[in-house]
Amino acid sequence: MKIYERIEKDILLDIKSGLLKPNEKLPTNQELAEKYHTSGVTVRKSLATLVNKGYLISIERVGTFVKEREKDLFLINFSLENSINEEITDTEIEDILISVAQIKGQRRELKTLEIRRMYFSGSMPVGYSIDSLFLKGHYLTEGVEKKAEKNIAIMNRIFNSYEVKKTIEVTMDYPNKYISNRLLIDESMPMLCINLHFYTLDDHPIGKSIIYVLGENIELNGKSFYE
Amino acid sequence: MIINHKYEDIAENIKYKIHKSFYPVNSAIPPENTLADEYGVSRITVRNAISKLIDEGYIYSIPGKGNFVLEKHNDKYLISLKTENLLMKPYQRVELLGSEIIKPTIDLVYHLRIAPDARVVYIRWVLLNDEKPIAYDIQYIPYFPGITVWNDNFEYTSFSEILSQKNRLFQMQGKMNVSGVNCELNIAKILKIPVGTPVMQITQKILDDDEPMGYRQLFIKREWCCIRGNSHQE
Repeated sequence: MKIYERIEKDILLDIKSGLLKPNEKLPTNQELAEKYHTSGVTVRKSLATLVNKGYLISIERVGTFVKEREKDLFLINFSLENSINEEITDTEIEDILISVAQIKGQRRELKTLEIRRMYFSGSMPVGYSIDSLFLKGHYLTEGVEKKAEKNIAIMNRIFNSYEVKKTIEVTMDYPNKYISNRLLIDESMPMLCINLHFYTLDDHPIGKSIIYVLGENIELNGKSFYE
Repeated sequence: MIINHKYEDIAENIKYKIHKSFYPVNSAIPPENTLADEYGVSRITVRNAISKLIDEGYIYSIPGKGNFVLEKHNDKYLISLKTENLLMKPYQRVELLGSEIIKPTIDLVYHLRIAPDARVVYIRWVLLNDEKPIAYDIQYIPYFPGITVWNDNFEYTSFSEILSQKNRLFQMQGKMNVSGVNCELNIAKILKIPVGTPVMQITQKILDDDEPMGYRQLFIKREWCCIRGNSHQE
């Protein structure tokens, strides 16, 4: 085991066992470095991992503290294919177009590459998604329909990249009439809407995705984050 | 309508097997020849399906070794199940509808894995805004000595707070589930909506060393519910 992993493991154990209490200050990096006969860089590396995992909070020039743990925090795993109760046997591209979209929390509109897809289980439509990738000026927008495959691949690669942060919002709402009809659902029937927003690591919006599914067809399952 | 090519069907089928962990993360998917036989198609078709899956980030290829399932790394989100974080707008008032010790129903015997003659603390809250009900919170806790079933300053707290009254917790662990349901009579009555109205249902189960310690059902009116979360990378 590498030194930084050992430091990380030791601190985590102390937090879990209650030896280190919420809001308690950790020894300084210098002190930890001496204790483990290592450098400050190594200590910082271990602490940074625990900060990222949500166990510690670091305040510049003050120190590192044990974070108050929210017991009601859950980790859910969401993707349409994993969360839907039926097997998706077919995906159909309904439309691929250049459109404009409003960005969350901003007034400006951006040119987007929009892909509308329908998901089937056998012959039954079970879901509808609208993915929008916000475009930079130089993206070639002519004839996107003809290069559907290529554009979808680009969008998938961007949305699934490691350098992407996402937010999820689940509501129950009425999609527009067209989508209800396509999914063979009465317009008066609300559906589960899963809104995903994609950002770069420095919070620059890069895209969004809306998925509509009938409430009874989907389940979001999670387990507590802290154990 | 766009007609699917054969290779697209194969790609979809392999994707499904990946999603259901029939091909686990980092495992090799069968070689092209085997897949060609399995689907009764040519190797070219299989190769097309595989290159589509590589493009979509499902698998990666190591030349000379084969194709492997790539871990989907960013489908994980952190969400908070504190009631105030599940609502569009904050609630104004909470009313305790009841807190009593009951004999478990069949459902509870199943969810809490208790004996049919065990005792269960049954607590019901209704959340109000403008004096109109917006959510109904039902909590079931197998009776343990020291649990406060009722006192004058009984307050609406987070579910895990109540359970933390129980000392000597070993390894607390929670499970949750969100789905849309058509509400049944008893819920419709409390929320003052017609039977069958779709509502959001959030269930939470708390286990201690794998033993159920509590079960909570929260029903939120459609227009009031918004579950938010942020992606989490391990």
